[in-house]
Amino acid sequence: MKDFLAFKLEECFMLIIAFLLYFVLWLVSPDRAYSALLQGWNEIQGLFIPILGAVFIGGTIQLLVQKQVLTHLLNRNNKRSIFFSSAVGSILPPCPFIAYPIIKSFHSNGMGLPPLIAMLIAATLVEIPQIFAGLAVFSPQIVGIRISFALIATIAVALGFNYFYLLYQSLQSTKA
Amino acid sequence: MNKHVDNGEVSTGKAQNKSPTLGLLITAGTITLFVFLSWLVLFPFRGLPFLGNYARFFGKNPVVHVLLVATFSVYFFLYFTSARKAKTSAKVALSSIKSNVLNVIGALLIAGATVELLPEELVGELLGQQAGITAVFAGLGIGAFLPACPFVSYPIIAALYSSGASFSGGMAMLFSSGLVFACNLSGDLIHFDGKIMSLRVGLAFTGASLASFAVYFSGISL
Repeated sequence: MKDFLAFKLEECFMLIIAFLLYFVLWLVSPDRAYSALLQGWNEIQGLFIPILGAVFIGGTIQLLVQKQVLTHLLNRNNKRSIFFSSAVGSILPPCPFIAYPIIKSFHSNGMGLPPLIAMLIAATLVEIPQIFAGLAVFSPQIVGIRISFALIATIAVALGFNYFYLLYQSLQSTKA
Repeated sequence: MNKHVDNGEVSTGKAQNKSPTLGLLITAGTITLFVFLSWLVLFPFRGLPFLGNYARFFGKNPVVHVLLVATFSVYFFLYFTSARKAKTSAKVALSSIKSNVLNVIGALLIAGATVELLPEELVGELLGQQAGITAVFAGLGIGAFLPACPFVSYPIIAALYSSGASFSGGMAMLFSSGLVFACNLSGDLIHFDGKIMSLRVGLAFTGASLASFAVYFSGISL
């Protein structure tokens, strides 16, 4: 238990930055510091349990995902894997603390760099699950334009990265 | 061509694919049933009137609720099929939680402070109709620093849009929202490294710029 509660510096650097930020804010304006703290507390309330859920499901993916399936679908730096990883990244939950453990588990199971980058870009740019938040605030047309343009741009950028990555690798192997 | 013998009859792979419509109908029916049953399971997560507003602890996005239900289902399934795998998965998850929990809390507190400190009036001046293509650049830059959570950033973007920001400027903010926000950057650093973070930020920003300029030059306006 004592070991479990011992944290390394890199495991709490964001909390230290947050503490410093709030301390400076409190010195400048205690009222704004209090409002910011309330907003921060709302963020923690709404996201902490979903984050725990994502981490737990990420833990199972590392064990359950068949390496052969991943090798077939994601572990090839080709156009098909770029399309597939962009699609998977697009439907992941729109929070980095929820989506990233899942993406990392794919990467730990052998996903290559171009599909990883495609999945990360799609997870931060396309974010299809944001459709609920989008429809709550904007019209369906705006939500549709956002998702379709972002998906096309993501695939274009990921394919470009894949092309240059393969070119770089072939140049490296030629040199060797 | 694949051939196999079933009860003395020789059938081919081609013959088995004769009714794709039936297959599609069965698939669509299964998905519809799954979605309907999922919502029955999800109902308690959305809050019950006599138990107060506890739903806020399960996130506002129904997709997150689907994820939570999926997590319980996977562990339930694992426990009955391979208890050892369930235990190992839980250990992996607990170890990950232990190393990330303080950083996650810190990032969420920073997100709250950023929302409180963002100067909305100044942002509005840069995104007006008269700003032209500058509004796209400004939208990309401002959106990138907005919180990654859509429930936080979207109301800010909507407020700016309704107070006179151009359509392409608003769309640019939507495309780039949260790209370099603390949560995303710390997620990159916690789960990957600085190299992946640089690649993700650079390429995602390129993608957001491509989409924004496509909207601007296509002349779409709602």
